[in-house]
Amino acid sequence: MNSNETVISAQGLTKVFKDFWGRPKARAVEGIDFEVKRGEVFGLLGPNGSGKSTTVKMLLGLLYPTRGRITVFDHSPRHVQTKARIGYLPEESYLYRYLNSDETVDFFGSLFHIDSKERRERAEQLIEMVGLDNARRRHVGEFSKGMQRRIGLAQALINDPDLIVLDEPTSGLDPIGCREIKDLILTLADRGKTVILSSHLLSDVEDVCDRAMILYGGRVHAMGTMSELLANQDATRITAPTLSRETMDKVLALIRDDTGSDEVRVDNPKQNLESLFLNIVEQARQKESETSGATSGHRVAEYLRVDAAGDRADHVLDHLTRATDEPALGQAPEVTKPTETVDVDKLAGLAKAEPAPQADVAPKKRENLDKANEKLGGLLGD
Amino acid sequence: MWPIAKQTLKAAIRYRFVVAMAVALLVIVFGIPLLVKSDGTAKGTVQIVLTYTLGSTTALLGIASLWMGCGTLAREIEDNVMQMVAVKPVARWRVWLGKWLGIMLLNAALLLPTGLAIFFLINARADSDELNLAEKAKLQNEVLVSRSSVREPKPDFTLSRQRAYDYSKLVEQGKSDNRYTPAEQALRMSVTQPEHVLSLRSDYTRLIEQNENAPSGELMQQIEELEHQALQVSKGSREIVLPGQVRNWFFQIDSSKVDRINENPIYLRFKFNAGDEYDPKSHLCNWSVGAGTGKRWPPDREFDEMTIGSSVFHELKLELKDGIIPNKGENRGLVKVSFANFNDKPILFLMDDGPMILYHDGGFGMNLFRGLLIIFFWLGLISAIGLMASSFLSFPVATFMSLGILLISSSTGTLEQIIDEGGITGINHETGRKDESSILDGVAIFIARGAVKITKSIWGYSPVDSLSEGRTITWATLFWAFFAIIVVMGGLVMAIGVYMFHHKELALPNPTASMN
Repeated sequence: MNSNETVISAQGLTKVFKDFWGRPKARAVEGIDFEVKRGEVFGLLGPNGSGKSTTVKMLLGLLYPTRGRITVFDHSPRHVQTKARIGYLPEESYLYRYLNSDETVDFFGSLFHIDSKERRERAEQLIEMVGLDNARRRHVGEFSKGMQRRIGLAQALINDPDLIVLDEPTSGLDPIGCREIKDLILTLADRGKTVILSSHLLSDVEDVCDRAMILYGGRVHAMGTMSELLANQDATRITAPTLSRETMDKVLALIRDDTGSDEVRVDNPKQNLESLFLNIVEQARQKESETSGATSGHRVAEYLRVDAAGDRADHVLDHLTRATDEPALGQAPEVTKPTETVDVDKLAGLAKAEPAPQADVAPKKRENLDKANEKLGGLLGD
Repeated sequence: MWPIAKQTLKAAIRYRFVVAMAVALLVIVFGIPLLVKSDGTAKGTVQIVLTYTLGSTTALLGIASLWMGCGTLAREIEDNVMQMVAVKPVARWRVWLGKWLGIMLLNAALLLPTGLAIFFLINARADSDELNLAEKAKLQNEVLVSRSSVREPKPDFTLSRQRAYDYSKLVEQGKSDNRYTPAEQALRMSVTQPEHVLSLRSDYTRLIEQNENAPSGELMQQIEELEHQALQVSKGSREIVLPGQVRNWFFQIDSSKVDRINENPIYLRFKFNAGDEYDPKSHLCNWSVGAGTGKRWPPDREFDEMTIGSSVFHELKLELKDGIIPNKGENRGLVKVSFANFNDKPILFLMDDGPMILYHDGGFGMNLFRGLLIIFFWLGLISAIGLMASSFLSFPVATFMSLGILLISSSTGTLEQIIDEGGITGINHETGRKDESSILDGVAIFIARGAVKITKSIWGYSPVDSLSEGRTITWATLFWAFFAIIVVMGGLVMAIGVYMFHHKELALPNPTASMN
C-alpha cells in the first residue's frame, strides 16, 4: 500500500430518495466527485441536511447511489471483504442496548473473525482507551450519549481499520472527549490510516482535517486542503517572542509606513476555551476520585500504535491524565502564552505554511473559525 | 453467522422473552392436565392431555417464532442497529440466516424441555396407582406406543378421454376374450375404473365423435358431465356399502415384519359416515378379519358385531394367540378385512379415512421425538416467514402479513371448495355442477390446486394427532416433512427473504421507503 493509493473515489455520485411509489422525494446528493488518498484526514463539512451523512452511508454501502459511482479500496462499498478494512462510528448510537461494553466490542469484533483471545485483548485496551474502564459491565442502554459515543468509537477500531469513517464523532461528548477524539484521529492519521470525518462543527474539521469538502444542498461548494480553504490572501501574520514596547512601536511604524494602513492589530495571545476547560478538569481530577461514568481516555490501544505514533499518542492522551505542574483547581488559571504541546503538534501536521497561533500579532485561532464560518455563511446565503 | 445467532438468542434472554415463554410453557404442560375434561377413561385422558399440551405448545411457540422472526430483523433495521452489522464483513445472507438460526436455537431450547416434561408427565400418569392393570395395558398398547398403519392402495381414478373412447369402441365390438390383439389386450389391462364405467354408456362415443366433427360447447359439456358421473360412480363403488352388501379390503403387510408384529395385538382403525348425526349406538357394524386363512378373527364366528356411531374414528383390537397375520404360504402378510352392512341404509367409508391396520412398531419416546421434530420444522418455516416479511416491511406490517400467510395457508376449505365446484363462479344447484366454465374458473382452479398442494405439503403432517393415537411418525415421514417444510418451502421463503434483505437500503430516512 503506498501513500498515493486512492482509498475512496466518487464520480458523479447522486442520491435521490423516493417515496413508496418510486417518485423522487428528495435529492440528497447531486453529482459529487471526490477522491481520498491513503493517510488523509478528509472532512465532510456542511450544515444539517447538506448530504454529508448520505455520502458517508453510500461509501459504507448502506445506501445505494441513484447515479454515479463510488469505490472504496477499488471495490464496491458492498464488497464484503473490503468491509474488513473499514471502521465506522455512526452519528447516533446504533448499538445493542442490552449488551455491556465488553460484550458490545466483543460482538462486533467477532464479525471480523478475530479470534476470541485477540478480541478480548483488543476489547480491554479499547475500553480503557475510550475511558469506559469503570463501566465495563453496564449495559449500553444505561449509558449517557457521550459514553455511547465512546463505546461506539471502541467498536469502530476493533479491527484496526485502514479507513475510519466518523460521522459527527464529537456529538454528545464533553470537551475532554472531543479533544481525545481529535487527538486520536491525528494519531490514526500518523499511522497511515485514512479518516473520513463528517461534521457540521467547524472546529472539528479545522483541527484535524488535511482536506475538506464543503457540501450544501447535496452539492460540493468548496474542496481543498485546510490551508487552501482558510488562507486569507488579504492579510499577513507575523509571529515573534514577546517584544518590548519600543520594538513593538518600531515594528508597527514600519508596517504602517509600508502598508499605508492603520489596520494593524496587536494583542496578547489568549488560551482558547477548550484548553482552559481541559486544564481545570485536569486539576480537578488530581484531587477527585472515581466516577461511574466515562473517565478520560487512557493509552491508545496497543495494537493501534506503532512506535513513533505510539509515543505521540501517549504524549497527547497522557497529557490529559497525568499529573502536571499546572495550577490546582480553585486557582485562577494563568492566562499567558498558550502551552504549545498540542497546537504545535497539530499545526505541524495540518498547516505547514501557517504560523503558530500564539504569536502576538497573529490572528487568533478563533479568526480562522470565523473565516470558515463566514465562508459557510456565504454559501448558505447563496 | 454464528455470532449473529448467539446475539439473537442473547437478545431473547436479556429482554426476558425466554423467561416469559418458559413460564407460559410450564402453565401449558402442568396446567392443562388439571383443566381438561375427558371421557373418564385413562386412555381418553392421556389422549386429550397429549393433544392439548402439544397443540398449545405448537401454537404458543408458533406465535413466538413469528414474533421473533418479524421483530428481530425489522426492529434492528428500524433502530438502525443493523447498519452497524451491515458495515462489518458479513454477507447479508449470513446475517439473515444467523437470525433464523438464533430463533431456531431458541425454539429448540424451549421445545426440548417441554417435550421431555410432557413425556415424563404422561408416563407418570400411565404408571399411576389409580389405574388398574387393564387401563395401564390399554394405555401402553394404544397410546404410549408407536404403531404403524397399513392401508389399501388407492385405486387409480385418472380418466384419459382418448383411452376411454378407444376402450368404449373396443367394448362395442363385443369381442370374446381370446380374440383381442396384443394392443387391444394392453388397452384392456390399462383402463381405469372410471374409463370402464364410461364404456357402459353407449352415448359417450357418439358424443365424442359428434364433437370431433362439429365441436360445440354444449357437446363438450355433456361429455364432461358423463365423465364426472363416471368418476363419482367409481368412487362411490369403492366407498359406499349398500344395505346387505359385504365390502372387502386387502392389506399387505411387509412380510419380513410379520413374526414381530404377531407378538402384539393389531388394531383395525376405521371411520364411517351414514349421513346422520353422531349417536354412539346407532349403527350395526360387522367385521371379520383374516377370512380364508387360518388366522381368522374373531376365531369362533364369521363376523364380530358391534353397535357404534358414525363420523368418528373407532379402533378395534384384533387379538389372537400367535398373532392374526398369516405368516406362511403365499398369503404371508396379507390381511383380508370384511365388513357387512346389516343396517337399513348405506354406509360410507371415505378412502382418506381408512380402514387401516395398526401394528406395534416401537416406543412412545422416539415417536414423540419425531413428532417434536416435525413441530420444530413448522417453527422453522414460521420464523422464516416472519424474517422474510421483515426483510422489506416494518415490524407491524410484517407481523400482519405473516399472520395472514399463516391463516390462509392453514385454511384450505375454501380452496378445496373451488376445486370441487370447478371454479369460483356459481354452480347450478339442481345439477350440482357448473353450467359453463370461464377462463376465470380455470385460473382459480389452477391457483387453488397449487395452493392446496403447497399447504398440504406443509401442514399435512399431523404429529399431534399421530402421537395421541399412538401412531408411528416414520423416519420417512420425518424426512419428507423436512424436505417439504424446510428444504422446499423454507428454502423458497428464505430465498425471497435473503434477496429482499440483500437489496434493502438500510439507511433510508424512512425504513419503509422504496428502494432504488
